[in-house]
Amino acid sequence: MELHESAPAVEAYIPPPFVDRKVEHEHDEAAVRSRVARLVERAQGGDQDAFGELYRLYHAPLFRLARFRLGREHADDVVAETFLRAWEALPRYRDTGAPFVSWLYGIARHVVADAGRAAGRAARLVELRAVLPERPEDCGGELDDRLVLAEALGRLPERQRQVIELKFLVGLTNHEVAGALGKSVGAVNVQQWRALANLRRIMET
Amino acid sequence: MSGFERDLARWETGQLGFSDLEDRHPDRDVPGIIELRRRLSILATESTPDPEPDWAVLRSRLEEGSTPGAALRWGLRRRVTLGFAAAMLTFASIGYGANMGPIRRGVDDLVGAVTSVFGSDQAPQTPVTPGGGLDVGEPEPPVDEESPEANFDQPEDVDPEDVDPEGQESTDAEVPDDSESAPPDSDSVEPQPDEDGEATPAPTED
Repeated sequence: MELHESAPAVEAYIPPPFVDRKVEHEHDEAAVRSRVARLVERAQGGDQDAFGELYRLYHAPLFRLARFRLGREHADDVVAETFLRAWEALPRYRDTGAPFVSWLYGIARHVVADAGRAAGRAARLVELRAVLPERPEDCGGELDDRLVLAEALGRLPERQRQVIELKFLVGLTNHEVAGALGKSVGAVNVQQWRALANLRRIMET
Repeated sequence: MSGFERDLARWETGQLGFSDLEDRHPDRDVPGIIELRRRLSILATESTPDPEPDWAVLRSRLEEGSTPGAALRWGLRRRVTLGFAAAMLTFASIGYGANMGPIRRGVDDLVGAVTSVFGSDQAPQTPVTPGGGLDVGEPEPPVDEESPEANFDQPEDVDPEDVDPEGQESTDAEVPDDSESAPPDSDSVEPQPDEDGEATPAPTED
């Protein structure tokens, strides 16, 4: 499906703030990372309250990822299973400098894949109708495009899809995506723009 | 990174305006890609449900394991147990096949014990009191008759002269002081493998 091309609207569009968030809020980000590191350490020691804080912090991005990939119906289960597996795997977690949420994302990817296989592709196509957010008006009246976008994203090469998901669904900066994937920022940039070009091509066919 | 991708990155960081980007790459679908990026960026700001109800449910499930990695450790224990059992079976099979005396005797004893339990039409013989109850006699200290190592920690209970140097069974000699507390006919009763579970392989935890 063709996207609406509105030159003035696109020209007026300003890249979202998280692009330069690392520069603008470096101090805040360091504070958040420090807080998350403490929570993770407590959770590794069995502190369920600390794990609950991590759950509240990262529920939204993982829920968006699950909803976008599998639909609203499976999103709750995917998030719950992701955090259950994370709880079990916490003793093995080591801080490598990448955001903690990227570690959760790695688990969520497998949960999504498992759930996708279980649901079956046919069922998934039907459930694409359920990829809507809690408030449909958040989509800006672009529901059809959204369904096409969700399907197109599933057809991207794995590496490009990871970049898109980490950046636009999980909400990481390019620097954070690079850290999560063990790539340079330049490589992430390349993957991102190639992914967008591919998505555009897929959606036009 | 191509020039187009580099300029897109510059546009994303505000170093290049949209019109400049279009002018530099007139043969590219600049508006389409930028519009797609805008739509994707909306995804990261969409509403999600309140996490608290789901957290309450999840927490109750965490209570089952109580500490992180509990299931992982249980899985590790299970693998170790199964691996040990498999190694023992393999060792016994090889030993039996190679006609190694002690292993062959042990396997034969085990097979005989199992056969006596499952292959007999009669129930295992157990001393019965005239009133019909089980005659358990006086409580006896636990003695592992087939395990010399079990008695190694209690040398004062064992008369060195009564120990069979070849490690063969010598029930009477190992517990001379308890003979009066045992049932009068204990010597005449065949040890029943199902009473103490020694002769029957114990099921694994799995």
